[in-house]
Formats: sequence, C-alpha cells, structure tokens
Amino acid sequence: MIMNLATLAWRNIRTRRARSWLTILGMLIGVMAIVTLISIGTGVENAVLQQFEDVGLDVVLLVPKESTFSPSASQIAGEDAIGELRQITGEFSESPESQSSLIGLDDDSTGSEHATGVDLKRLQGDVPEITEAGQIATTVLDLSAGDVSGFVRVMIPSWDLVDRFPGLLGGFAISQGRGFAAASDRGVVLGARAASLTGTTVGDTVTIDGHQLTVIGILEPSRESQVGVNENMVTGRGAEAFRSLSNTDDAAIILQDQAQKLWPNFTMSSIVAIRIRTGVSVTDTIVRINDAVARQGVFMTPVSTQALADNVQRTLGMVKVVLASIAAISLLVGAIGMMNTMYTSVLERTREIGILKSVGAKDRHVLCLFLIDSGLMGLTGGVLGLGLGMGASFLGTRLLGDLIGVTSFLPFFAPWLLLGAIALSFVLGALAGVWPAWHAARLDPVNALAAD
Amino acid sequence: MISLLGVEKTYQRGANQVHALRGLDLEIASSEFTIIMGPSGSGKSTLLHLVGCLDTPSAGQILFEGTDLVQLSSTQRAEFRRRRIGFIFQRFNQIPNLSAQENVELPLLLSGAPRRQAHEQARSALRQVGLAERSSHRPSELSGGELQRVTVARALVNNPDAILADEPTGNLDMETGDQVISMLRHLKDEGRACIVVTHNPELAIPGDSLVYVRDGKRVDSLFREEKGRH
Ligand SMILES: Nc1ncnc2c1ncn2[C@@H]1O[C@H](COP(=O)(O)OP(=O)(O)OP(=O)(O)O)[C@@H](O)[C@H]1O
Ligand SMILES: [Mg+2]
Repeated sequence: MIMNLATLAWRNIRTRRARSWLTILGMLIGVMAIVTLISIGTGVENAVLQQFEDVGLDVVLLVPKESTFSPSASQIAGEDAIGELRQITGEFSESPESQSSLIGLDDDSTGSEHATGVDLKRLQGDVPEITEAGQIATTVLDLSAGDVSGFVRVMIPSWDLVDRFPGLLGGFAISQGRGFAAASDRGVVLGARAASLTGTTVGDTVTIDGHQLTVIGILEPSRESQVGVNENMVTGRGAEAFRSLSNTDDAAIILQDQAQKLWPNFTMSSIVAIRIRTGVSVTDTIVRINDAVARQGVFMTPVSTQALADNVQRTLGMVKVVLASIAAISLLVGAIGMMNTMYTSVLERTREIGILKSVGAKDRHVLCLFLIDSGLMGLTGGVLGLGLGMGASFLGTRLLGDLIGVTSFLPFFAPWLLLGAIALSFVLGALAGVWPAWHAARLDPVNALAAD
Repeated sequence: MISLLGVEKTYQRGANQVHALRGLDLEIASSEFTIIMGPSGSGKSTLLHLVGCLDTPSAGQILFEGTDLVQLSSTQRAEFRRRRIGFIFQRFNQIPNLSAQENVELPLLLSGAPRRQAHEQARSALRQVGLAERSSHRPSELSGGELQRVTVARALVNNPDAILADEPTGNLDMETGDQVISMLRHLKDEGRACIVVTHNPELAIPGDSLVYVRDGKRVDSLFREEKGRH
C-alpha cells in the first residue's frame, strides 16, 4: 500500500519538475552546508589532535612559570629569527637577549636566578609514576654558514628527550644524513628551512656562537608546519611550549652533553618532558609532580598533553557547534520553503484531492500521499546535498589549506554524519509536510470536487 | 437495492440554511438504469453524493444493499466509495498530471493492488471503452468524449455495484453523449445499478426507470407539477 502511495507521490513530483527541484534545492543547500562544515571541522580537529597523539597523550611537560616563560617566547620560534637570517647585515628588530630567559646562558642574563633546572633523578625518586624524562632548552644564537649569517633558534635537548620523546620535536624525522645516536654524539642537526636558507648540506660546517660544528643531519619539514592550524586554535602556556618545540624547521639542534662542553656556564632551565606510567591517573600524578618540583625550589609548572588535547577538543567542539548551528538554520529555511511549497500545492490540488477521495482515498491515504511527497523531496535534497557536500568538503579543505597554509588535512566523514544527514532531511521534509498534508486529508470531498 | 427514506440535506451558507433535499424517498433496484431529472438546484447532485457516500444526510436513512450508509465512519465511507461506487462527473475529473492509464489505476492502487495487476486491469478497462491506444495520454491531450470514456473506465475498474453519473453528457455533443450513455446501459446487463442525472429527456428509453426531483423532493412528473403551478 505504502509503495502504491509512494508511486502516486512520485508521479506528482515527476510532473511538477521545476517547482519540485527548486524546493529540493532549498533542502539540498542546507544538508550540503551541514555536511561540509561538520566534515571540515572534524577534519581539522582530527589533524590537530593527531599532533598531540604523535607527542603522546601520556606526556607531561614541565614549563617555566609565567614569570620566566611568557607566551612571547614563542616568537623565538622560527619566523622572526630565521627571517633575519636572510639579512646578512646584523640589523635586528628585536634583541635576542630579551628572549633568552629560558636558559642561563650568560652569567648576567635576566631571570635565570629562579630557573636553576630540575633534578630529574630526584623527581623520579619522588614520583615513581614517572617512567621516562628528558629535557630541552631553547635559545637564540648567532650562526654563520659560508657568507650567510644571522640568528638561529638553537634547541638543546637531552639525549633522553631525543630518544624517548621524538614526537615532541615534530617527529624528528631525518631527511638527509643521520640523527643523533648517543648522548655523547657531537655535531648539529638542522631543521629543513634552516638548512635551505643557509644553503648547507650534510658534512658542511656551521659556526654557532663562535663554535664550529659539523652538520650531521637535516630534518624533514616538521608536521607542525604542515598542519599549522593549531596556532590559531590552541592558546595558553603549555600550548606555546608544544608549538615552539614541535616546529623544528628553523632550528639548529645540538645535544645537551656537547652544549654543556661548548658553553660551560650553561644551566639547563627549560622544558622537561615526562612520561607517566600507563594506567595511573594523569591528574593525580600532575599534582604530585607539581609538589615535587616546588620542593626543589624550581618555578615550573606541569602541563599534560591530555589536558591540552582536551582543551583543543573543547574549543574545536564549540566551533563545530557554532558552524553546525549556522548550517542548521539554512536547513530550517529549506524546510520552511518546503512547507510553503507543500501548502501551495495542497491549495492548488484541492480538486485533485476531491477526485482522489471520490475514487475511494481515505483521509490517511491523502495524508500519506502528501507526507511521502514532501519526505521524498526532502530525501532527494538530502542525498544530493550529501554528495555535493562531500565534494565541497574536499574543495573546501583545499581552499582553506591554501588560505591558512595547511595542506595535509582531509575532511572527515563520520558515519553518523552521513546517515544522520539523510535521515534528517527525510524527517524534516516529512515534518514540513505534516501541516499541509493534514489540511489536505481533512478536506470535505464534495467541496474539494467543487473547487476550480 | 438502494433505498432512501425521508432523506434531508441542509447546507449552511453563511447565516442562511439551504435545504437541498427535504424528505426524499426513493427505491432503486440493482441492475436498473435510473434516470434522474429535475430543474437546476433541485438537489440531484446532492442526491448522488449521498448515495455515493461522498456526503452524509442531515436526516433520514439510506440503505445500500442492506448497509446503512448513515452509520458509516469516514474511513468506512471511503472504503465504500472505492469498492462499491463508480463516479462519473460532468467535469470528467481526471487528475491532469497523470496519464489516462494512471488515472484509471488510481482506485486499484488505493485498494493496495499490486502495481502490475493494477496496470493490467486498467489496460483492459481502457480497452473496453476503446481507448487502449490513448492510455499514455494526459487528460489535456484527450477530447471530451475520450475523457469521459476514461472516466467510465476508471468508474468500472474496481467492479462496483453502482455507477453514479452526474450529467455525464453535459460537456459532450449529442453523438459522443449517446456513445457514453450506451456504454453505461450495458452495465445493467452485468447486474449493476446505474443512476444517471441528466437534463436531457431524450436520453431516456422505454424500460428506464425515471425519477423526477423538484425542490428536494421526489415528484411523479415534472410536467404535471409544472402544470399544477400555473
Ligand atoms: N456545498 C454546498 N453548500 C451550500 N449549498 C449547496 C452546496 N451544494 C449544493 N448546494 C445547494 O443545494 C441546492 C441543490 O444543489 P444541487 O447541486 O444538488 O442541485 P442540482 O439539482 O444538481 O442542480 P444542477 O442541475 O444545476 O446541477 C442548490 O440550491 C445549491 O445551491
Ligand atoms: Mg448538479
């Protein structure tokens, strides 16, 4: 029976092509907007969260407290310093000293009196949940290679950090030469951009702060710079730390042991990475780490990857909700358009309804006929909107990528989104038809037959 | 057997009441060809609507083969129309977006008949009225006579007990009108009641049962009534 009514409804849609298609278009645009916005949003979210997963969700960073590690320290990261590398003359917009508070490199440097470095052995003794730990300092030093000279961001990780937490360094994937093999390894590994801007290759010698170092390896472009989106989306101290570490493109990397020999006054006061045993509560452990660090008299505060990831997820979740709401409005407008079409159609077809009733259509047949009519139009809009929306998502990630310099993320189509979009469009379509259909079903047959 | 007893129908038109039928009694045997005549506004269409269960009387009783139509619910009335009544209207009343074939299929599809079966039955009904070749045409592509034959096919396709025709020849010329009427006359032989409302006395032939209606009541003869007035 329902199939027969569907046949009749379809015959009607088919013969009112122009109007049906215009109505369908309204639904189509709504569904398309929802599918596009949500799948792109989810794609961005996945790409960003992937970065945290690469680092490891069991990782906790100890970052200097506000006084010694201000968000502006992220400006140490690449862009400014390397930009100046291009200038062979030594005119700099910013004094590097003002940003080197991370590291007690010079005896008279500011801020170093608090940050005397964490005693990792003691910390691990105090908090047995810590399975691994490493540390890294970042500073800006002058570098010359051939006839190019300028400032470069120097990252000084401990061997443990390179070995156990490569994810923190954007994966630390080598493209040429080799990486570090032992704590005692000498030489420098250059980030991809640092190498290309200075025109150095593996085996060349570069001079950093007066010391000659051999380039043993060059890194792949870090994933951070490929995705890059999170720069706009994740804020806060911990996030800054993650960002400055994971972008190795502009950096020169020297192992801690060698750095201590080159710069004996060097005190390691920087970022500490800690991995927590699986199965223990990250929140509880963070509290204990915080206490233990405070007892050492060090001004550092723990930030967990998990917490940052949650934070990002919350932020992006909110963005997604806002986007979906906007899309939902357009779907609603489409549904109202459909309601209008259906109502007009009932008015126009009053006599037809009378004819149907005279040949024996029951009220519920007429009701179903109109509901199926609008439901089918909704469904058609949903299916087409889904298809076009998926296409638009791929196009959108392209355009968005070009716009914000992101190339490696894809829209994500959750199964619930696909099924939901189709179900929603059918239900909305049918709902839009309820009132007009009910009106049609209740028409008096004799009066309906008398209509023009 | 169709019998009407004291049937009244009152329409509310704004503040006024229009008495379309005022106590009408009538008996129509199955397999009878009944012609209803009467002046305009006398209640002929109203009578057909009541017998065909399109409408309910304000008072009185209508028995259709023993079924009391007044007692039926709206769903039952729809069911009744579908299974036992075939309507033919002056305005043809085809659905313009559907082909002749699809229009004739309507009552069958509404009965829940399988599509293939509906298709076959509609085809053979169209063949009976001589329109097999025009089955894919839309109503707008058919002449009045052809349209009315499609209507006859649609009225017959569900094998009803009674055909109710309201001025079926009103929009047709004499010749096509006669064609349609002679088609309807055959139904009598199949044991169906056929009630035709018409203004054309020439349609009647000996053997038809004639019913005259005036002012919502049955009268013996229009002629005599009129004479009495003068
Ligand atoms: N739906 C309605 N609402 C109000 N009045 C109605 C309605 N239908 C019919 N009437 C009135 O009832 C009376 C009988 O109408 P009906 O259509 O039965 O007449 P008829 O005999 O078929 O006339 P005609 O030969 O002109 O078709 C008329 O006065 C008409 O105006
Ligand atoms: Mg009439």
